[in-house]
Amino acid sequence: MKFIELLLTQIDELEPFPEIAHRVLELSRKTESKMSEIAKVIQYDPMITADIIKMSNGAYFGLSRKVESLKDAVGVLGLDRIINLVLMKCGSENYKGFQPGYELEEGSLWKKSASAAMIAGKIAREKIPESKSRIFTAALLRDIGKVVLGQYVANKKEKIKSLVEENSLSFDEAEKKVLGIDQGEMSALILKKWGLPDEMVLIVKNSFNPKSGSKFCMESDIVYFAHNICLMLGIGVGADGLAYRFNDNVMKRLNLEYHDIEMMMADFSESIRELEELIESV
Amino acid sequence: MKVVVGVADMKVSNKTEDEIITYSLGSCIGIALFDPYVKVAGILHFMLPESELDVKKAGKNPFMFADTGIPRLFKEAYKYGAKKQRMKVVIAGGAQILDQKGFFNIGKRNYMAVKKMFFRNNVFSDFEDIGGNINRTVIVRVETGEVVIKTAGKGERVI
Repeated sequence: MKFIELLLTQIDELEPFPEIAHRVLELSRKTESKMSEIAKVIQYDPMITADIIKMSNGAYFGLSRKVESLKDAVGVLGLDRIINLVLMKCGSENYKGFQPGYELEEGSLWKKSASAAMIAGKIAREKIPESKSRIFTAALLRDIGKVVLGQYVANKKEKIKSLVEENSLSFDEAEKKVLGIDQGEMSALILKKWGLPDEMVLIVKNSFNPKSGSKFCMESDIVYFAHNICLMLGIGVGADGLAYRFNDNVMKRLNLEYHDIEMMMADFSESIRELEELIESV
Repeated sequence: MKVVVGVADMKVSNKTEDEIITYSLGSCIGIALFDPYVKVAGILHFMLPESELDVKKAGKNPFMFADTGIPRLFKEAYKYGAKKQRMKVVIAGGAQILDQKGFFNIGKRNYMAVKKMFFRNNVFSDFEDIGGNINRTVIVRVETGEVVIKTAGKGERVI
């Protein structure tokens, strides 16, 4: 069996992206979708509904009164936040364990994925609001490739480490050289197999090395940038460290100055404890 | 007891059973100090160099910035009887993403901010583990004053 075929079989061992998440994402893309349509889809799943109510009542949102129903939660927090909570809930399962190869402690990759999704969602609301749910989801699912690739990275860790340290390759460049596939390509393979839309697959794949002029360039840029903020904050960083390429063209395309990066880090840190509690409750 | 210092946070202790730890520094910097005479230890985990970015945020949480967090760390240790002249001071973190140059290099700017503060206040560091693209965790043990710097995939170093 070829290595890529072997990897494809491993995808079947992951928890697939649930149907409810596909439907919520699809509805959120249609501008004519009404709040009630999306709420109906969510309400159909009592476990998700119960979790959304629980998450809504957590410290992160700091509500003065208790949310008791989904309708209540949508009314108080707004549909966008509820969609994000559903997507977080649906995307969390695969991330929670220890990730070998990258040597990420239990929960660490999940914390990074959820944090990056929150940051990307916030930037998207300002820069490209029509794509906010898509960008949130892409940032949430971007690192899923690590979950499958981790054990193979572990088997070749010395070789990868030496290429990073001695040949100045980035961690994903070293993966590609040693394994023939990198984490971005692996993530794209998984999302494609899960049946996510082609544009989502492309955004995630390109978010590892965004290039000007590519389709959905701004979406990929935002996802890339959000994950870089997490790297700088040391969130979900393991043996791969910060050994990824920083592309300042992304900053230019997004019209972000140094000051904006610092402000985003400062803003994020203000709610980090509450966010950690929210992430842990998912 | 394990005392965890979060992002933009600081803890000081004189309880000998305490082990103060800050995880995953990235571009942030951790400053660990220890006075062997009174057995006082502390860690500051700051994120950004200058509080002029947002004075209101700095007022709410001074530990976010080097220029407001560092004085608070030392003053808190002084309250427990620590003296600057006796202190062991270790700095770690300030990592950078590959090709992160100039203004965008927050790790380097953070380090420069520490050096500036230390120079102005006549503080000397005993050990520095700064830069590169690795992620560091720092521990200081109040009983012994040992400072441990851990890096995923690379083991640990005891100072």
